[in-house]
Amino acid sequence: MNKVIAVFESTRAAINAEKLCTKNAVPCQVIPVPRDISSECGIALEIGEGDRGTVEKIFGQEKLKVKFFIRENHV
Amino acid sequence: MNTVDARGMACPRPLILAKKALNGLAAGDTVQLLVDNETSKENVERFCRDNGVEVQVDRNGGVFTMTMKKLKKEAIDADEKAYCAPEPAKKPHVVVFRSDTMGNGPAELGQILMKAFVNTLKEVTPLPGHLVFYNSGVNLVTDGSSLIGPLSELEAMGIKILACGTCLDYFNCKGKLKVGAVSNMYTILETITNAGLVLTP
Repeated sequence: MNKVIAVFESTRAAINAEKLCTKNAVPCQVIPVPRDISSECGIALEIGEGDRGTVEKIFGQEKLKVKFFIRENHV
Repeated sequence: MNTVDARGMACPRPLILAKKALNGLAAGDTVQLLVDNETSKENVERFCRDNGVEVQVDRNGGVFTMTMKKLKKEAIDADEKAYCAPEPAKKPHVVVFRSDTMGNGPAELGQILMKAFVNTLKEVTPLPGHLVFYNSGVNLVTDGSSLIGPLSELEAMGIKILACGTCLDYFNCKGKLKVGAVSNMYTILETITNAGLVLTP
């Protein structure tokens, strides 16, 4: 299954997003923003493709701005 | 292009022949060397790499055809015998987790950085030989840590994980270790002492 990488506007937003995922029992992995998305240091969340709709809803309720990038699973 | 046959020869003879042939070339010219053992092939490759020679190796059965292109016009004066011994193996590095945060500062920042650090470890080579957890670092390997999954993955890749037993005891989580082995000061100190490099997030 493909992975979805969620990138946020700020580190604080990423920290809040991770807390929201934990609170709502959505599995997520904290990763650095991949180099091809941004060369700046940043934190992103990797989530399962099937959870994208759920997190969009959760983040939307908290007015967290998020951009999604799809990674094809090569494993 | 000339071909120098160094089959059946042991080090340093292939290196001596290679150097002699290379020093008879102008910059940009190539020469072929035939060797029939892995050690000679590796030694000649290393000799070339260090002395401004581009080398391409084709293997045909037990014979290596090494096409060497001299890039510099200066003669090579490196000692062939110095390339006879295999390169000493590098000792793997050890990552020491002194706390459950990466760096000092706000806890929530240090915690999120630590998660990103651990999740990136498997992608950076060479991989460490050991991960050592002590003080509040043991929180990362005990029940409730969100990093048990990625750390177990690293353990499965052959990286040894050591958790400080005194620290587990102090935090009352001796029975809650989820990844790695309980260790003591002797093993931890030996591991750090023998490390090629010690890294701390």
